[in-house]
Amino acid sequence: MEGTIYFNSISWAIQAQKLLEGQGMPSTIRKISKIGPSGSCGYGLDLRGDTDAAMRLLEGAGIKYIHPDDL
Amino acid sequence: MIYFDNGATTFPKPRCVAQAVGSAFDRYGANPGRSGHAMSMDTAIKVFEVRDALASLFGAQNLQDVVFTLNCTHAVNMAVKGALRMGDHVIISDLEHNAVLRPVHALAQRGAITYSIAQTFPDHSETLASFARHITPSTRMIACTHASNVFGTVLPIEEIGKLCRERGLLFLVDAAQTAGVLDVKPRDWGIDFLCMAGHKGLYGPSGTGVLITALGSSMQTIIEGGTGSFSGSFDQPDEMPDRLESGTVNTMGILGLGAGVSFVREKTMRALYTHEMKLATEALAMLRDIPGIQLYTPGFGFGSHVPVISFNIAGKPSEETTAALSDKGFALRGGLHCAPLAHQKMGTLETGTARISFGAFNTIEQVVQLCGAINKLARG
Repeated sequence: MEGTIYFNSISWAIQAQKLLEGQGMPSTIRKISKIGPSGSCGYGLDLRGDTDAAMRLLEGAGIKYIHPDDL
Repeated sequence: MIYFDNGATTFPKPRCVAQAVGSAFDRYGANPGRSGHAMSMDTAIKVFEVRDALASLFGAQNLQDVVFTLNCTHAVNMAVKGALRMGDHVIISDLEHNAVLRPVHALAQRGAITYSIAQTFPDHSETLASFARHITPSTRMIACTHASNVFGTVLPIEEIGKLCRERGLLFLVDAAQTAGVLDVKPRDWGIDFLCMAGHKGLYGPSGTGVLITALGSSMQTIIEGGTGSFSGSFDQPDEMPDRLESGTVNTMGILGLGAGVSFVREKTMRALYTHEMKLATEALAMLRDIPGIQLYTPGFGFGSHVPVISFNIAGKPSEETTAALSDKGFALRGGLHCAPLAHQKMGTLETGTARISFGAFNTIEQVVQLCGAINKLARG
């Protein structure tokens, strides 16, 4: 499975990447010029793994990401 | 030159710091994370790793609570001007560096806040009582140094933090002289704003400082600008650390700071402190035997002081002493050390003091040489 999780801040995106890599979910970070309807720039974490499981892991670790409902 | 001015900035830096800065110039020269290309991302990861290392060293709850600043003064200004509101009262100590005194005084001069100066004593319970006596219904913050940059005196910040928690006050600590030297636990000690220099006890390059705070999202900002996030918004983002890091950070400096932090962790703070305090204690013993030398810290010792000694040669202004020592190849600082309150307290406002501040790379041979030179100067 593949998917993208979005972040406002590079710092959170990198923290998420390191956490998920430790859980066997590799990913790459890319800069995104417009995220969702607000059109703010941010970062996308392109994930090779279960995105839902990844988001649960991030929530458990207190890592801030942009929830899909807010996109 | 034999360098004893580590209280101003540490020198030399460990080799690994220069190497880290060099690698930043060669390989991590992009704006960290702001652009989408590979070097920007690689640079962002290196900066992240330094942030993570600092969060780990100081026990920060989130690494996003770690903010890179230009120096400790910058960190203090961000905290003081970001956290205080109109009508607030602040308590500082009688040992404060201008890094704390001046922003507090400037806000008071503008009529925004008021402040009081608590006396400090060798007996920590008296110091605590002094702080407590100054608390009023308007008091919002205690802002104080962890250790005096002139006399090395360590304040009981763990107990002051407890007092702040009990009384619902914000607590700002100026750890310029203690970060990397003494253990500092902001979460355990109730420190809301831990301000430090990157270029002193953490052995990073000049142009680096750190603010650790869990309150960043609610602070007013003193600098707004590009953060590489929420770029479509005219408003400064709330999200940390971006909120308090506008503009391009000092990437080269930060990577060097990361190497300095690694050096401190590898050597351990305990070993570094023990080494430097042994040198300071030996220096004091030698200075005591020199006629005409004035010393100012009778209770100097492990735990109660950091490795900083002030002295004067009777009848000689401190800057004349340090200039003469500079001619002989010794780097010391003379004068008021940007800490007029401390000198006012000790009665050295007219002469200032000559300061010996020790670092990781000082040796006992250097101390013997220095004291020999001071001896010759004192005897005329």
